[in-house]
Amino acid sequence: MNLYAEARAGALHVQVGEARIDAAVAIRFKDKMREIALQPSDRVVLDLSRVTFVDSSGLGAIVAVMKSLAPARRLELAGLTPNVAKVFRLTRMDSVFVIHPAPEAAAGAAVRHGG
Amino acid sequence: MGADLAADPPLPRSAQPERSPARLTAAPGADLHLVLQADFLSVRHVLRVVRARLGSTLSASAAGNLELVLAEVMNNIVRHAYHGQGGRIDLRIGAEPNALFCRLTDQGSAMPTGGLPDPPRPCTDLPVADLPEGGFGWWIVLDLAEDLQYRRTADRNVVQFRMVLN
Repeated sequence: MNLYAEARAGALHVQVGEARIDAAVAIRFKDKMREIALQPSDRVVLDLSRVTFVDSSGLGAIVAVMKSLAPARRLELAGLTPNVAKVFRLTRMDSVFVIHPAPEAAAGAAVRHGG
Repeated sequence: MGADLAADPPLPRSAQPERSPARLTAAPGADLHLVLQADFLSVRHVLRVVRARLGSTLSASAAGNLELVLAEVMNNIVRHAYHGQGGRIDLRIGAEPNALFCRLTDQGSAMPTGGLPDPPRPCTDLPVADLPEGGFGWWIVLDLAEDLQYRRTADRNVVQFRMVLN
């Protein structure tokens, strides 16, 4: 499970370097995200632009990460590809997360919040 | 109905899962019959095989829906029919006019209610701390699949449905 973390303008930007967050990797994803999130930041932005498939197990893992960050920090999502966006829409989870259209937009939001 | 559950050909009792995670028994262009071991990595592998065989004939959206529904049904079998202990899953996909007919067979535990599960839809209008982390999979199947049916026949579970292509 490759996750690349980088601090950008007060946000911890985490890019998922895998095509899938599915039942086979959901637990590893959750554990690794919790480890990465030990780095302090106001927000955590999960960049899903390389992810083409998320199943309900992967979705559950993303929700679990958000819950582990709350209430001090928010988990925001960026760069959802069409099939991944569909899973969030079908499960109504698109109403729960702040979803940025592109990772760059998430970074821009951070600059505005920070300025 | 274009297909009948009773027409499902019996599997030989001696049949064992192959060492390779998926076995393709259909000739190119014919309907697919894939046999896999009930674990998450084999499910992932079979989804790749299905996409390679059928993806080029489907829209990106239809291919995505098919992959998602098959993933949810097969992962349910891995977890709830075989309790993570492994076993054999048979996946058959047949082409129909403007639809794909899918049938999954396993020899694990029966569905607890004897019929299709009818869980409540997970609520998302909750404080973050109370949000559900599971219970989404079956609703994804209900939302995307048509003509969903379940039957327990002898020692097998049979789940079948159609994916309508647009």
